Amino acid sequence: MARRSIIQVCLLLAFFLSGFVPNVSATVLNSQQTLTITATVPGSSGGSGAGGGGGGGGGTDNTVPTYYPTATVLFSGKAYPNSTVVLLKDALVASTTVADHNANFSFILNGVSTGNYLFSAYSQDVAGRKSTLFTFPVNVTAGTSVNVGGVFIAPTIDTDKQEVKKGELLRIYGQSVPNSTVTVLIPSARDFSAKVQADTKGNYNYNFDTMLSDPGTYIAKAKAAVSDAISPVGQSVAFTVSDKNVFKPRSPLGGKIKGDINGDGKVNLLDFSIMAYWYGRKNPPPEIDFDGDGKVDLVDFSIMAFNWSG
Amino acid sequence: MNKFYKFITLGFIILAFGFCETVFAAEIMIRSQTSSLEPADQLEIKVYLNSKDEDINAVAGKLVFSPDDLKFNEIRNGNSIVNLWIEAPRLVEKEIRFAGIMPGGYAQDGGYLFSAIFEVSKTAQQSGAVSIQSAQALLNDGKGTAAMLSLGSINYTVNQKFRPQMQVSSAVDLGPPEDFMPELGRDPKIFGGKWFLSFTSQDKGSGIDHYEVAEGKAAFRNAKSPYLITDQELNQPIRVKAVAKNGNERTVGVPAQGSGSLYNNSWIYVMIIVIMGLSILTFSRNK
Repeated sequence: MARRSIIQVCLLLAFFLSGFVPNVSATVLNSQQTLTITATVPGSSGGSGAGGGGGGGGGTDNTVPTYYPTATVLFSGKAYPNSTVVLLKDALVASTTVADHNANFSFILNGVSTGNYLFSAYSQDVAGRKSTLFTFPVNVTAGTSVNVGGVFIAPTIDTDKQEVKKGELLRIYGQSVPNSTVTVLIPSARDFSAKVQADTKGNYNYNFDTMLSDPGTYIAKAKAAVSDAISPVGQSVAFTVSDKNVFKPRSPLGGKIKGDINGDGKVNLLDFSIMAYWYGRKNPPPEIDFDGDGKVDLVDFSIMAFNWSG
Repeated sequence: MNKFYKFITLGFIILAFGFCETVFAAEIMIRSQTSSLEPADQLEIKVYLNSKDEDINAVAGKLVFSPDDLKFNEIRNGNSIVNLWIEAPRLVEKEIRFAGIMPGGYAQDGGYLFSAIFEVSKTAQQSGAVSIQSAQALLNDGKGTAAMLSLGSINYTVNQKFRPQMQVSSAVDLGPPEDFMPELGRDPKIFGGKWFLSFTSQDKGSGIDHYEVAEGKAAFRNAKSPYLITDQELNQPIRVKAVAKNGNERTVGVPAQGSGSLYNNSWIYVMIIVIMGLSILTFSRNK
């Protein structure tokens, strides 16, 4: 009898360890899990149902069906070879994928409700430099399949020096689509632009001669073109022309991103929440007050929105 | 004759400057279904952002109206281009204030921000105006540079009753709010470093009305993000419910994280293995 009890205990424990309990404990919620969906239609007597988003339903006259029409949205575009591409839907991460060796990527989003969305895509190049967000509004109609093609993420950009001695070369470099034509832009009184060919891995290099530049601070930007597609102008990088050379630290990941209030390497809803908490309150922490005007206002939120990663 | 030419030139310059501003400035525009109102009519004022080729990532402002003429009924912000509201449109001291951001920027015209629904008062004046005031639109340039902005307004007249009362139709909203994922956070700059929960959702139909949070087996209660978690040990799962203005709901959950939660506790696994080992040993000996 005792032996049987021991076997039963063993079986029970084995059952526990085999993963049975986590399944049973569906009440211990998963952060991505949808527990219940209920819907009420004005004019009806109400009702509720449970089911997954977009799932089939039914119902009687007084029961609101859990089914609601949705659409599928397909995205395709170009980023950097073998890079991770992040898709944001209304500022929140909707999906991630990896671009192929030619920098092509695609996403499929199912179960998208009817409405207007702001989708954004961004990527990080081989050195960890983040691109700007490529943002595009999409109007989705239920029951349709929306195809969004031609998403072209702008090139990344960096310089070898933060300060360059007048007359010496400044190396401007980054990554884009393999074999694309990258245009480097340096807006100033004498607007400068130059075209350079990216290599088979998408890397580009341009040596900017500062001989004709007056001492001062400048910014450099880049855009890329391949066959008949042109990317938007990407992130800007600042440099100063002066009487000395100051080289940059090697790692582009060294600096803290403006907007990353909690220091987790992302600018997302948590940072927004912390900033929203301080909106309109007195004496905010200086790390939140990006423009240093003593208050958290719309300008600080705009800076955060620019650096958003979701 | 000389004076005439000077006058013409000056007038042309003034017109040209005025024209330039009209063409190039971003605009917060308002529209209504009519400007000819009658008492007890419902009036929907829709607020839009025309970026005029600027890349805008933050907007804020006030919708100002005469509370003697127009009785405020409700706000609708379903399908807004604003992804994150810093201050969702709401009535504050007889005006509607709003502030929000669009990460990544918005560079098109006709970007819907929100609607305000009013009812025309029976004692309304013969004419009046609704206007956007104290508004800002900031560029998506990483510095929060203010865009040149023109502000919309609408003049209306109130006439005697000639026609049936004008009604604003209900928002079509079949689906629940968008799926969302609450995020747990802890930072010394908020709530004294205690655990909090951030959440946001959107409802493309009628808009989000409010959120509710339930910790463990407790009942749902109204909450705002960021939400200070009561159980700082995080031993209980938390459910967050987004409720749309028409009553549609979506509930999502966050699993228990703390040391008290069963499967985050490695010693329980150790104990189970020890008990199993002992049981097998005992079983073998008895055999």
